[in-house]
Amino acid sequence: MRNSKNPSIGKSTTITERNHLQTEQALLAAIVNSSEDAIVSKDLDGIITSWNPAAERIYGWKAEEIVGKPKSLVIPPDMPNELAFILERIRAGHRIEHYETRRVRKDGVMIDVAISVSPVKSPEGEIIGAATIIRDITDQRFLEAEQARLAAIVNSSEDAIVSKNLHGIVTSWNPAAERIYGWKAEEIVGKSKALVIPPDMPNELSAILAKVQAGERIEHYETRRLRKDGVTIDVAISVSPVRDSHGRTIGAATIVRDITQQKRTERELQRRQEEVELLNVRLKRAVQETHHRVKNNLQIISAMIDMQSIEYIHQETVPLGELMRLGHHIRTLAIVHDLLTRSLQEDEAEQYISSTSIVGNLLGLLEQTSGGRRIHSDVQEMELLSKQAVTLALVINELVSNALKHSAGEVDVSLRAQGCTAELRVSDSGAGFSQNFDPVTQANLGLELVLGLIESDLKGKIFFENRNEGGASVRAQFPLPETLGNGLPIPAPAVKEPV
Amino acid sequence: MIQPLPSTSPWLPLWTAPAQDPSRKVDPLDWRRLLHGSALLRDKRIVIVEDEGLTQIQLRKICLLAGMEVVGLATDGEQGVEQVLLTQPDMVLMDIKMPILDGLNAAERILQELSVCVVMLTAYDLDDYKAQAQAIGACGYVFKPVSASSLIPQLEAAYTVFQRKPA
Repeated sequence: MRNSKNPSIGKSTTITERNHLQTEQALLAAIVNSSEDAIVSKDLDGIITSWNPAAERIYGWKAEEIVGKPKSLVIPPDMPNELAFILERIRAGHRIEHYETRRVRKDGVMIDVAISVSPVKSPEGEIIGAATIIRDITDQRFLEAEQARLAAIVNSSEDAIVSKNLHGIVTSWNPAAERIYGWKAEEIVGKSKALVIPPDMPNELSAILAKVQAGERIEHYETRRLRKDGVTIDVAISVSPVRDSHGRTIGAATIVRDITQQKRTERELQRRQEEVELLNVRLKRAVQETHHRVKNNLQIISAMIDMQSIEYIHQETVPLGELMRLGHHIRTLAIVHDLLTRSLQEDEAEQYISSTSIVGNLLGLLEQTSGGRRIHSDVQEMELLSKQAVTLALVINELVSNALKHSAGEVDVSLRAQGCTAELRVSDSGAGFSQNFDPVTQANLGLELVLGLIESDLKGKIFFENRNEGGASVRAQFPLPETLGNGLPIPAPAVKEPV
Repeated sequence: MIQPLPSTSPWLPLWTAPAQDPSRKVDPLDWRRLLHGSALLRDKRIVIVEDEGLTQIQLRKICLLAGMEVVGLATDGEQGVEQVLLTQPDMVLMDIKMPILDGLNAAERILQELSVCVVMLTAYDLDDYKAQAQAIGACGYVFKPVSASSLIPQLEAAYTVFQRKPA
C-alpha cells in the first residue's frame, strides 16, 4: 500500500513493500509451480490467463498452447452450461468448494476432477476473474468403483468370504459367512477364528496360519467347521495371504463353501451304488442258483427217462403206467422248484425249505390222482436243505404211489424229528410185505430209486416193516442239515411243533 | 460229445474223438445199438463218483449196459480218491461239483498216483473247468444231462484218447 503523508518513509516503505511483494510473489509462484494440483486462472469471460505445470500434466495442454484461449476447451461437450454457471457464481462473489465434475484432456480422454474456484479481485476489490484448483481424482474414482464392485461381489457371494489377521482374529465376515456359520459379523469380527473350528481339530487353525505366513495358498481343502448352533458342517476352503502395500503378509482371506449337502449327496450316491452292486450280486447269485436248479431238474428228468429206457430196452416199449409215474415225478419236481423259487425270492441266501410246505403240496398233488383215497399226514415243521427237499419229494412220491397201488384204504405219511434225525414213515393198510421180501433183490426201478436216493442223497437208512395192525410201513431215517457234514454253512435246524 | 479244444492247444490229439466214417448213416435214437453194449468198454472196470443219488443210479445202469464192471461208487471227491486208489479201475467217471472235495481236485490227486482214464462230468459248460480238466490230464469232459445213447460213445472216445496217451 502506498503512504502519501511521509514520502521518505513512504519511499522506504514502498521499497520494503515491493521487496516483500516480490518475495511473496516468488513464493506463491513456487507454490503454484510445484503444486500436485492444477492451478488455473481465467477472466470473467472464461479466457485462461494462467496455467501451471500440474495443469499441463493433468490436461495435456502446454501453458503456451492454452493461455489466452477459452476454458471451454477442457469442458466436456455434454456440459455446455457448466462454465457459465461457475462464472456466474464467481461474479456474484461466491467460492466453489470441492465440486466433483469431469473435464476433457487434450487427447480427448475424459477425467474425473475435484475443483475449487475462488474469485480473483483487483486491488480495488473488483472481481476480475477466477482461480481454480483442479485435482485429478480419476484414479481415486476408479479405486472407489473397484472397491464398491469387490464389496458387492463379497456381499452377494454364495460362499463365505472371511478375512483374519495373522493371530487368527476375524477382520471381515460377509453375509454368506453369517448364513453358513450362524454368526453375525458384529458378533465374530474381532474374535478368534477358532470359534468355528471343531474341538477335535485343535491344530488346524495354526497349521493354516503357518502356511499363509509362509506365503502359500491353500486350494480347495475339504474339512469340517462348527456352526454357532454346534452343528458340524462339511466345507471346502481356499485360503490366500493378504499383503500390505509393501508386500508383507498381514493376514489371510478365506473362501468357504458349504459342501455339507454335496457330501451328503455323495454319501447317499455311494450308499445307493453299493446297494445296486449288492443287488446285482444277489441277482447274479439268484440267476446262478435258479440255473443250477433248473439244470438239476432237467438232469433228474433226463435220468429218469433214460433209466426207464434202459429198464425196458429189451421189451422195445415202456408201459404207459411207467410213463405216468414219470409224469408224477416231473410234477413233483415242479412243486419243489416252485417252493424253492419262492424261498429264493424272500432271501437269496436261503437254502432251506419248509417240510410242511413240501409235503403238504406234494400230498395235495397225489390226492388228485388217488381216486378219492385219503392220504393222512402228520408232518412236523422243520427246515430242509433244497437238495434234501428234492430227494424227499421224489421218495415220498414213489412210496405213496406204491402204497396206493398195492393197498386199499387210507395211506398215512408222517415226518417227525427226533433230535438231529428226521424220520419219514409211509404206511398203508394193505397185505404188508411177504416174509421173504428182500428190497435189494426184489426192487423194481421205483424202489431202486428210493434205496439209492435215501442212501446217497439223504445219507439215511430205510426199513421195510409190517405193522401190528396190518399193512406195510416204510420208514426212512436221515440226518437233519446240521449233521450232514457236507461242508455247507448250516444254522441249527429250526424244529417246531406241528401247527 | 467230447468238447474239441482250440487248435492251438498242445493237448488237441488227446482230446479229439476217434475218427468216424462220414459215409455211415447213424440214427441217434436207434436204441438197438445199445443192446450189445460196447466192445471197447466191455469188462472195463469203472468207479463212479457222483453226489446226486439219482444220477449215480443212472450212470451205474449205463455203465452196466455198456458191459462195464462198476467196481466202486462214491458220493464225494474224498471217497472217490479212496475208491479209485483201492480198486485201481480202468476208468473213472467224476462229477465236478461235489461236497468235501470237488471232482477236479479229486481227479488231480488220482492222476498223480495212477494212470487211469478220467472223464469229468458236469452241469456247467465253463471254459475254466474245461481248461483245468485238460491241465490235470483228464481224457474227457461230459455235460449233464446224459443218456445211455450219448454217454457210452463219449466214454469210448475218452478211452481211445487214454489209449493214445504216451505212457
